[in-house]
Amino acid sequence: MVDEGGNGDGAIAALRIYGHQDHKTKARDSSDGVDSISSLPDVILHTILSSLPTEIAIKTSILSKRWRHVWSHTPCLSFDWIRPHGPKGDIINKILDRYKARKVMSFKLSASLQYDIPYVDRWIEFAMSRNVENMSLEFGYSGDHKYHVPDSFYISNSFKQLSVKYSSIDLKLPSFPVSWTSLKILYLKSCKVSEECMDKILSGCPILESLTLHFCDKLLVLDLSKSLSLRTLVVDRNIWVPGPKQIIAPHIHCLKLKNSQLPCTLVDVSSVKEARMEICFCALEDLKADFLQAMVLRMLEKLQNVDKLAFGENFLTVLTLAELRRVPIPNLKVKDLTLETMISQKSRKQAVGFFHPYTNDGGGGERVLWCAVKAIQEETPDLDCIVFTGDHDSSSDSLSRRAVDRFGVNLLSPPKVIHLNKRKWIEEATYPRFTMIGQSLGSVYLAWEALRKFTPLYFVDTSGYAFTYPLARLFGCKVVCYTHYPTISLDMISRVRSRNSMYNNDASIAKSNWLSTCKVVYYRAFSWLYGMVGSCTHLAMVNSSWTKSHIEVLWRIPERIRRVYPPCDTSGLQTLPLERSSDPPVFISVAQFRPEKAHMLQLEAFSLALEKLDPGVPRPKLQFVGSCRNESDEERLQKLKDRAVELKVNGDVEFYKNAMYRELVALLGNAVAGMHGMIDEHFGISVVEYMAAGAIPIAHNSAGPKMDIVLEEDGQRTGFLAETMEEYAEAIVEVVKMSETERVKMAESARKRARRFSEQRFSEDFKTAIRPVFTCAKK
Amino acid sequence: MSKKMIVLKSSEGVSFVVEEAVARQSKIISFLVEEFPDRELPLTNMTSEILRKTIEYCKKHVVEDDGGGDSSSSSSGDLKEWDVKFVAEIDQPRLMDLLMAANYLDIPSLLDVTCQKVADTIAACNDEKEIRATFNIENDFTEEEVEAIRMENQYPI
Repeated sequence: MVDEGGNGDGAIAALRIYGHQDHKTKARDSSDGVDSISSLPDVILHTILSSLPTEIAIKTSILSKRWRHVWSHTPCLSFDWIRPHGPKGDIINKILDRYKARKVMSFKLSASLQYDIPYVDRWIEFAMSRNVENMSLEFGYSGDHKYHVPDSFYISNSFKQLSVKYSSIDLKLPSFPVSWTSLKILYLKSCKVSEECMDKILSGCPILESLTLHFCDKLLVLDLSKSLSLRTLVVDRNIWVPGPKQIIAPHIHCLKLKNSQLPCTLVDVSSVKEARMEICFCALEDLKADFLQAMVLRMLEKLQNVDKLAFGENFLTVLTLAELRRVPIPNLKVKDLTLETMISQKSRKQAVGFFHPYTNDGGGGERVLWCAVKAIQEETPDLDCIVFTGDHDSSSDSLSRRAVDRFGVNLLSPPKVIHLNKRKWIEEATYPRFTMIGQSLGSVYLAWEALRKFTPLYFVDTSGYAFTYPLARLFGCKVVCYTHYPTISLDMISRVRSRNSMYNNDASIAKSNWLSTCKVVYYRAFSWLYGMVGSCTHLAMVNSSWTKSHIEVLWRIPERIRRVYPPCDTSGLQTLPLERSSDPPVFISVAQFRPEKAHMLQLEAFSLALEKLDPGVPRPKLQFVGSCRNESDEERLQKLKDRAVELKVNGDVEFYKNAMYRELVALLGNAVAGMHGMIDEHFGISVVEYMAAGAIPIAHNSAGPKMDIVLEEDGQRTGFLAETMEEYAEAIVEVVKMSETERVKMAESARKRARRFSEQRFSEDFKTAIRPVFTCAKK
Repeated sequence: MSKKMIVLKSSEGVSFVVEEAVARQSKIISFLVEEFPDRELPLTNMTSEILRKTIEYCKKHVVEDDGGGDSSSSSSGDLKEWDVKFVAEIDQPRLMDLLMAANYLDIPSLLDVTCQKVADTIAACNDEKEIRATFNIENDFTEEEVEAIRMENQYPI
């Protein structure tokens, strides 16, 4: 500290001393290779790590000695990304065991009720024992699983912010009073809260300042007259979850109400100075304008003293209608009025709309979306990018963060987001029969909702909803699509015709002649329709030669089809060393345990190869790495294990279920070769990953691997293609017998070939493909 | 009424004249200005480049006193967007300099933005090697130690 009585020099000297610890870095040119991050004080490193999911923060412990324990003192734990749909109990327990910070500022947990119930109590109690201030709990879809937080949760003097997201279960309060004496901000989503329950909570929060209720059912009258400190109230209702019908909130200053078309009365909001009003319409057709008008006007009467007012689009529509009907509108004393409205079709904006109803599937399709958004932002910076999504919790910020966090794609600016309400029309479960046609027509309805809300200049589809193209054309858009695979392929038809039973052709249908004929007719009609709608696009990009050949036949617009390989993120794999231990030589097979991935064939081929190998050579190992999506996958995995025992190779085969990405990388870095067994895989990202990682691919001799991936690079072989069990076995034997130099040479050219499928390449090819469409539309 | 200006001097000796309200976002400068109203403040460990950047940030974030309660949600949204752009344009080594400057001058909001950007950069790295390369961190572990930590960080399958 500075001596208060000191003269000027003293203080300035103090300023220098304050900066002294950084002094050694002063004279350098900031672009040379100095490690400045490690010299930062712990408290700043904690700030940095606090905004990362804990599983990423932990990664830093391996950087250097300086970083060894930094993460474990970071006052924030965020477990919302760890295996969102799978069991994570062991992972989180292990992390908590090593966690050192005494005080937790923020604790975020998103738990799966299917798997995590046995552990959640412990995790919550852990956070509370460290006096957590900001607690955020989210419980995913529960099905039959019910979970209630422990009673002790309701007594805390450390909570300052609390967020609880359930999936429509009742909050079960303890018999004793709630006591959250420091709580200032409370956010409840999808909880059923009765009036008694709400009262009990409110009387336990003496200094509550902000309350948010998103889709909280059961509550009819929200009485906040006893919450003297409460200043902000946010309520979201919709037609399925009506929420409070009467709001009594005499002390609040700020009100944000998103009403549904169900009645809602503002009984007392006399202190409100700032308000945002909106109505959420779900189905336009059953709106009752008179009723809405009356409700909106009554609300406005209550808001006469408000200084700052914002009307959402629908609220504004209802008001405008009232004005047109010459209904008197209450006088407002408002000083600052914001009217929110969408740009209608007539004033079409220079924008690119990405139709992507599922923005959180996390798969290759989503990677393409973000890479495409980025490429368009780079190519045409003056165009706005807009994403049409059915995920209601996604926002501009959350999506651009997601693009970075999950895919490492840094968008130039966050995309705008338009939410769609009619996504259930494209969900598979909506159509137990005639799924394809049902989903296709559903997608038209969904696109209609999208385009009515906002009509962009360009309509881009990267998820294969071809039936939306004619509609987008009707709305006057230029249509661009990226197709991963045709919705229907010619092989599907011939498979039904030859009455083969397969994963998409039920055995009962394969058996019956009559049903098979019907299905062929249905498929034929569908493929004709598919051709019609597909040909409406101005530009079709496809991910592989195989897809290209099919789309060409189906859509009949070869001149508008471009092949653009998908962006494979292999940069992390490219740096693995090529040298591998050959004792034992490890073969790896990475694929979900799905039927079409042909694990059994690979196992049997491996066992055959073991028989063929001379006893002198080192005995290879096979590692299956993959995830199970459901019970039938689990069964398949079990069968595979049983078969390994039957073949007496169980000692040579290892199974890794639901491995994390980092484990997968370690395994890939240890394998001499990678096995791939799927017939007609459209592209084959796993094969590219093998090659990038330096594992020689042994892939199925069809479609993507055959036509695009496992081809010679500079006259060098890059891997093996096989079809029958014998061919696979031969390839395995050949790899085992290769000399180290031969193997490295082949792995090297495979790695080189894998670079052809990089994000960089995608971006360049994508821009080249769209350029003609985008420039000619501008004229 | 004319606005009061103060002078900040970079390590190269370049003087920057800024409005006091702008500079006062730094708690350190704010303190010093109060104690020693009419002095030039030498910031001996900040290059002109970084000082210029810091001032640019402070100018954008200065709250006008005479504007009244004019902080509508859209403008705070714009400001956020501006921040993102601001840090996106800076390369890695300079970002670290700016972060240290924010820490040194005690400008909490700038420290937050720069820390967030560093966190994003870490998250975007595929593995520890990439993080080390990005930030020039030297690996001072032995191979056995690395293996031990790797085992520790390995999650049960």
